[in-house]
Amino acid sequence: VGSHRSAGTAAGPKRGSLIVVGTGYLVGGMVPLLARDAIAQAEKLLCSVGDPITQHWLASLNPTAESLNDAYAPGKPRRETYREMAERILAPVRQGKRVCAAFYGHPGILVDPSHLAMRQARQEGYPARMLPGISAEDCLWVDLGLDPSDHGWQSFEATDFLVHRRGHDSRSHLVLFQIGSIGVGVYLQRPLWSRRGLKVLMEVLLESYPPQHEVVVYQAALLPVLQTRLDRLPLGKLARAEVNVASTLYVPPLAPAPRDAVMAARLGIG
Amino acid sequence: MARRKSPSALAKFVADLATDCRKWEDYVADPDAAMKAARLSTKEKSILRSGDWQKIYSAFGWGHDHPIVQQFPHRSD
Repeated sequence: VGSHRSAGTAAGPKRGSLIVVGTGYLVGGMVPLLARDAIAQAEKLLCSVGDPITQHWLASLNPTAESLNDAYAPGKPRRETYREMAERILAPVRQGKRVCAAFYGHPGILVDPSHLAMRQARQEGYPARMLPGISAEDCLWVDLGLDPSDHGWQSFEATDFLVHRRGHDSRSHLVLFQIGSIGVGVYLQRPLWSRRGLKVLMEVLLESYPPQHEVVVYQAALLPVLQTRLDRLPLGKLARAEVNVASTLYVPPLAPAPRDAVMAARLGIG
Repeated sequence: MARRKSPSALAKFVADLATDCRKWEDYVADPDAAMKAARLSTKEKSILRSGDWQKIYSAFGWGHDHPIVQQFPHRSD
């Protein structure tokens, strides 16, 4: 939309642009070189990261760094927060600036404001690009010491998993994100946002797994001086587990899937 | 009396651990020696030794003008 464009110089109109990057976890240790370059070279850096040291590190690379975290407020709908974040990202783009938006983890996974900003920027005709980052799930497989391609895996946002009754194969790995905020659409300033939602999740999983099935409540370390959390417990105790809004649930496969001999023969590997 | 350091010294120390394998190995092998070499104050060493994210975040003012949580979810269903 041309009406949004107002910036220009004597040398000609200056075109704003957007690049969205992820900071992974562990401060800057998981930032790809290209993303680091985008962070450093941006004329305006906007960010939403989960710890003050990453925030400090970003500001050391680019003094224009501005946190978007003040868009959260207790009781405020998060959809509203995400729209506000996207608008704040787009404002300097419309002024003709080269803008970088940085989010912890992977910027395109479980991140509404990055996608909102990307879509809107492109709709308005600005160049917009997203670079992949290291997600919580990437860290989870490393910290569990597992290769998810053994048995295959499925991952869901926990509320989405429940509300849409997503089918899953209990013979594969199952990963559920945001188990501490199930059914909560606002921002709350406490560690666990819904014990009730966690209990419902446990009850639904118990339809597919026995109560003694061991699960893992996982939380990637944000800083190198903090410990990764890998709390192993029986599924039947999940409702009372120490869970917070940053927790992810890993459910191992119940049993290996049987081999289909007919299919194997059909593929010539029988 | 230990020389007072700004939180930026603490931030740089932690960021170095995340981006410099050698420094990380030195820290894991002997945290006290690594913190001493970085000239962190007694208070800063105590904060890091605690392994308590709330203490670390508080050292940077988070929890005062910033909501103090471990992560900010970026997705709603």
